[in-house]
Amino acid sequence: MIELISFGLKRRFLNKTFLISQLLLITLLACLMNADRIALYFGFTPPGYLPLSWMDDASEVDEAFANAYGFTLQEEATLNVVKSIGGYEVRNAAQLDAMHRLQLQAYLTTLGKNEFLAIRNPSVAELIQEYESVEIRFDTPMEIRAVGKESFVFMILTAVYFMVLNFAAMTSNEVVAEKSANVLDMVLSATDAKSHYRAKLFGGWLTMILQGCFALGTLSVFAVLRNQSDLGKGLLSWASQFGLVEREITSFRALFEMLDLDFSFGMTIALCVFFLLCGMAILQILMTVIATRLKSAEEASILQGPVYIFLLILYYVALSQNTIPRLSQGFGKIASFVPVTSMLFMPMRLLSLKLGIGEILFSGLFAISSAATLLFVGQRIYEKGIRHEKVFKIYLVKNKAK
Amino acid sequence: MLEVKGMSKAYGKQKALCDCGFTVQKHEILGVCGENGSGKTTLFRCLMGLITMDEGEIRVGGKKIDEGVRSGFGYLPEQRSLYTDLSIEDTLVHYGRLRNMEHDAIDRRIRELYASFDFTIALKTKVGSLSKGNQQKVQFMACLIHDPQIVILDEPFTGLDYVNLEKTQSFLMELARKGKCILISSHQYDELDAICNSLLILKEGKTMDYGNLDRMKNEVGRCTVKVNSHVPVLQHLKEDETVEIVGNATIIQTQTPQRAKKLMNLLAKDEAIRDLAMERIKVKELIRLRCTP
Repeated sequence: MIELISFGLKRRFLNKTFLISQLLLITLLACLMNADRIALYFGFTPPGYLPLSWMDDASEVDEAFANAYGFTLQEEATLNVVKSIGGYEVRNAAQLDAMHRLQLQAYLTTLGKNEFLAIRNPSVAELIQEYESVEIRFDTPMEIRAVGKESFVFMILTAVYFMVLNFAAMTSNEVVAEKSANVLDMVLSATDAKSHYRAKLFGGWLTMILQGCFALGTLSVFAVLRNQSDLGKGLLSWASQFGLVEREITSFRALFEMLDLDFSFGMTIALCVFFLLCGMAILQILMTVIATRLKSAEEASILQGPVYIFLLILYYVALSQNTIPRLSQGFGKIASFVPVTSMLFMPMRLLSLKLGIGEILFSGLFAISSAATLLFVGQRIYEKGIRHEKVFKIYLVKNKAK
Repeated sequence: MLEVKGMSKAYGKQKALCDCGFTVQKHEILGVCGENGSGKTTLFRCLMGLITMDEGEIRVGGKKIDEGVRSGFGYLPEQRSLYTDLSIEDTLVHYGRLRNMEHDAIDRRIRELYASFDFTIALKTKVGSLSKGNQQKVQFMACLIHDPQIVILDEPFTGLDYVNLEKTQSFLMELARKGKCILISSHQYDELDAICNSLLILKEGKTMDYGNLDRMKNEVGRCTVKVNSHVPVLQHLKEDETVEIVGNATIIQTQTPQRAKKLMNLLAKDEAIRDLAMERIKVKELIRLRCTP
């Protein structure tokens, strides 16, 4: 089995395609770690001023004055201000972050005060009353929240989910390729189908782990280099403009401090990874076993299509349920105990709620026992399938009495 | 050494192999013949444990073997079963390692096989870049890498030119001399005729005949006398003997070897006849006789 695993790993890793894909990955990670510099080089940096359109009378508003508060006046802007009785109404289709909200409040209050002063010459008492009464109403969706540590972990889990999603099909593709290239007769004359099956699965998991380690290692190297350069300040402040990190976080050290990687949080992450890998193992075994019944790469692609769609649907359903009330009861809670769906729902629950040990144990045992059962049942089906034999024999018995 | 009893295999309702039995001793080469779909490959795959037989038993040296790897068996499948992107060396090392061989032993064995097959292509050459015949040789070497006691060859002569074919035949006979049991299926009956000691004739999964090739030929008795010129021979022939003109040769078929010898003596007296040869029934005709109702 060890020979089969090492042979499989060699074939996966020691080829031109793998080297090119790794170069691509390294380039992508390098770009990611220097995204701010690249954006600056190509002039893609988000504008310093938020475009703002004035719905009633633009001439009343001074561009320089708006700029002073962080806005630039444009006819076509998604952020609109409408003058209303006693104040202003701010309309925006998208979310508005807290900083821009505060800036707008300050800008419009000052504007309202200036207008009041320009029209009449009030007494101090009138001025105070008018100043306080500048009413600013926000007609915008919920304010944007910078990514917290739970969301940060979920982002990483999502990345792992999509990476693993790709690997789930890898083993089944190999089995189909070996079947269609007729190499299995020679291989199975030298080793048994059981070892072949186990080698395929373990080899697949090892590949996934090695790939993950490589990606993580490369990312760490670039992070260290960036840390040496500016402690990650440029990148983090750039990322904060998109709400990816808090504005206060200005170094990688601060980012890690925000993550607060204590033992309990480490356990949560470990449990999240465990559930994710359990679900993926189930899918991988299923796909590998089904692959033994397939005859060509075309059939394999037909199988993979629905699996990808299912995994994407699962992901978006999980996202839609990612609120504390929905995860605490009903579908969100049930899905966290069902193998496969638990690979996303349980991590979400672990990150959002305080779960009892019983719930975690029940779901974990159910997931791992399902994977183990499938591993052993799958072995029998695999052994038959790879030899082109029927798994089940159906005997039709005619009713002779009739 | 290898004993098969009552081997049966069905694919659904279709019986691919029915109560097949035979024995192959050391130094013996058993030819497995039959039409397409007669069950030859099924028999080999059952022997190798690549498919499960429905009934029957396999014994090696008197010991029953169950499912699982046949460590003392070497199998050459009918189709090319190689990773074309691997080098010859990687291919042979892989199959050697699968057989739990140490690297040194594999290296030694590769050198031996290279010499036996008179193979001169560099070890680093990719299998995919080799000709069909050379790929077949590499597959042959992979099948023999662990020096198996029982060698099962499904269509081993496919893709070989006449030079390599003769070399392969000599190599197989050498293997048999060394005490290996060899089973070969082939549609190249003349090649089988030259090397086999015994024959198993299958038709639709059923054994039509099995036994020592000489015995089978003697039982049939039919012989051919070949005269390498067109001469009047009819006056020498009996009613049940046939004459056929093939190119410059006159071919007479007799019913017994004794009659063929008598005819040879008669024809030898004719001064016009210079070249005479007697041939026993060929495997191809033997199969035709056994398989035709």
